[in-house]
Amino acid sequence: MKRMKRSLSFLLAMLMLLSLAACGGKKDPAPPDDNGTSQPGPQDPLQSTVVQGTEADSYRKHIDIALTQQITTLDPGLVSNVQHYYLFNMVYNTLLFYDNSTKELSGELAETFAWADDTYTKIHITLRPDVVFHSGAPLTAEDVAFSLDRTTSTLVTNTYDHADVIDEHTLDIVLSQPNVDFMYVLSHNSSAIVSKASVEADPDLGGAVGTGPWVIDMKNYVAGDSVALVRNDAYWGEKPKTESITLRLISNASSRLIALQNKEVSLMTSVNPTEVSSAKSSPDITVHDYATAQMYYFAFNNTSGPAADDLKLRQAVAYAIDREELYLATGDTGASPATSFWGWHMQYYFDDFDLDLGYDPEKAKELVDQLDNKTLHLMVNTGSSDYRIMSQVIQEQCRRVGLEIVIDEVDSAGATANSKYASATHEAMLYSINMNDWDSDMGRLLSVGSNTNKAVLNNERITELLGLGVSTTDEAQRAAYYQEIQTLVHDNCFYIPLYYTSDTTAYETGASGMHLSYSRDHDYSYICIPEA
Amino acid sequence: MGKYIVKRVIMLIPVIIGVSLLIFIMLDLAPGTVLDQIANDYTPEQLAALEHELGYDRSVFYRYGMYMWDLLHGDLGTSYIYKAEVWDLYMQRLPATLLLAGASVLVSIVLSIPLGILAATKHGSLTDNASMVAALLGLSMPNFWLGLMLIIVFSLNLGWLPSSGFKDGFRSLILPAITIGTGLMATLTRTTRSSMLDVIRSDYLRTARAKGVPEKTVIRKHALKNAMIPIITVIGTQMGRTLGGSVVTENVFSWPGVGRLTIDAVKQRDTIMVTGCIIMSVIMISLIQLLVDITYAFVDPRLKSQYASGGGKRKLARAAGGGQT
Repeated sequence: MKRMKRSLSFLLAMLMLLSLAACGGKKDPAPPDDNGTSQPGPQDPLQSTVVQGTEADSYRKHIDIALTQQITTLDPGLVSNVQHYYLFNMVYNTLLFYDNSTKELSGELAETFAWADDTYTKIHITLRPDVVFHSGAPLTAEDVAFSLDRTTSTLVTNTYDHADVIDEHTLDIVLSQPNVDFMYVLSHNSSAIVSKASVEADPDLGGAVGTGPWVIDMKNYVAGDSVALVRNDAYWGEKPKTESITLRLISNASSRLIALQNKEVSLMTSVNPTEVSSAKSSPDITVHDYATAQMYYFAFNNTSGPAADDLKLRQAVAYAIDREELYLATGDTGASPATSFWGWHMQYYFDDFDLDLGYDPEKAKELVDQLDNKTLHLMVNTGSSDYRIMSQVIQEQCRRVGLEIVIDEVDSAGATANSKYASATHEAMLYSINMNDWDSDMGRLLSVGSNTNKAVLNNERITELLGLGVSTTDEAQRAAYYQEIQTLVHDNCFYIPLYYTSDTTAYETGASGMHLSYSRDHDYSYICIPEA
Repeated sequence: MGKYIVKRVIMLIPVIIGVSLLIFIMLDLAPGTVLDQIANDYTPEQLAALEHELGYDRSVFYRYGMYMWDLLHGDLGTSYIYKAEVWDLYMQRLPATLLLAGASVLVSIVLSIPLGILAATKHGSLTDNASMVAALLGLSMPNFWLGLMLIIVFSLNLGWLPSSGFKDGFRSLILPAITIGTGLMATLTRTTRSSMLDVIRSDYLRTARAKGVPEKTVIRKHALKNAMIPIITVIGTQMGRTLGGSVVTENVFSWPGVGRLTIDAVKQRDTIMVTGCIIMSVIMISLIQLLVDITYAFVDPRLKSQYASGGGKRKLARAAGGGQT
């Protein structure tokens, strides 16, 4: 027994030594660096940032960037999500370029672009004559028409009808209905232009041939793990200073930060909230905090289930939710509460409602007392820890006012399947969306038939207003339409907006050229790091 | 021996049929299909065309039949998500998995066998207890915790080894191999100890000692060799397990192995990819088991003659299970 105790004590001592070694730092803290790059700390949330650096004689030839989720396809026509945009921004071009700092559109592959008339159903485009694909083939109007025809994103397919090719470098894009915001859609990655000849020659991988400043190195592409990129020396625009970049999946947030601290990668997104202070204390790392265009929200099924015809139930939930408690529980201390179901960064954002549906447990209790049904099933995607935490906090907050929330856990695929517009079975669910800048983008969440419409909303007035909003360029009219939509959604509690998230991008101090955006689709095309 | 190998290969066929059918049915029962992942944005017309193309407008058994027909022709299918051949995707990840599995088992062997022998020869002593506690500690430490600790010490603080990925070759392999190897250590150490204890107490070793054979020779030449059968069995099982992929460790070290590929495919309901990965794992594990069976013969000459006499399989199973022939 004595021997046993001794051996146990020895092993515990060894374990403590290992833990102490793990906690100890290797380097002494150095004074803050003063090299002129952007400083750590929150940025102006309304602005995107191009990280400025100092000119150098030579730059590092290769840079590794850590990704949080896997890239499953190289083809911009097949998938539309933020994680893929990092890659698409570097490899492909779009017809137009949208600068979300100045809120202005300019030509990218298009040399000129204009509405053909004031019906807002046809855009006349002239292409730059000097653009070639990575395959060496010149860009033509046929490639543009082909790319728009094949894209699967509803951003495009909801309005795009067809393209009339006029000559090699000229075409008309024809819409199925008026949409004054469609030029913004043409600047979105869903409208990236790929080579028709390459796709026809290889339907599986031909979509990976673009016109952007970076070329995919297919030999070193490991699907779902890493994408190797080499500089496109034949690029028609400004050429990057770095010669090659690897986008690597490091899904574990702690491993990602350690890889950055260890200089195995030079940039990462989504620092674990509990590790932000550790990242900021490192002199070799610059941390960029920012408010994002992503909003978490609570969606009731407004077509079937207990919430569909029960405004009191929906309002009771709205009054019961303390948003601050919610986002602090997820560790997102930089988040801000959402009042209107709209993007804070959008032009026609409005939250001056007559009806106040903010946190008020007493009002919630009053409403709950009037309810026959005091139970609501909340579908939660277990793939995200944020959803899990939020659902438990909401369950507790509702319990305090006498409302029972039953959490139904499903994985990501299950959540998508159960909340499809045509066959939705959920009573309520938590969801989030990264909203684009143009206001009509909210149509995705409010339109009849859209699978992003997690409230399964079918409201005639909202549908009419969405149509009116994209039919005119009169700003006063558009503001009125969109304000009415926001008021309808708010007062009827179709959705409960919860909060706008914040995020953190961390990078090696000295790195510059990255375009960091509140929309999170950062552009790393011009990242460079001076040689030490 | 040749006949035995052929028999084992034939036995693989019902296993593959059973496993693949099970995967198809289970993924069909789970909510959501791969169509929800790849065609969430599609118009109803586009969706109907895709459903028809992938066979989702027919029963799961029809899709399974289509899959098996392709498999009969040596085609593992095309991943719905990656739009690439399952065989190519699997082969792209296999070298990393083989390396990691091999290195982990090697770490486990290097640590466990000496520890097990030491524990057996010093039975009941402080060394014995310490060895067993060390082995248990290896099993008790969660891989994600140990992995992160090793990364913090050896990558971040000491800067000796890379923390993630596969690009630094051998150096990249060390930390993940230690992480998995330490977890495998407990079983192997305990097996080595108990097997050695059985042999050490046997009469022929007592005779050897009485004849004046040095203790080191008794242990190395007589005891260890006779105790090897159960140890090899455990090593084979561990190798098979690690070949299937170690998802947690692969995630912590961003290791591009088949474990992560398979789990991601499950999450995305990519039935073809999941089935392909599992079938390949079944084949790999069966090959390893076959190799283990063949190794028995080399370790214990008595078994070789049993293979030759044709009654090897039954006796072999007895030998592997009991550690005695």
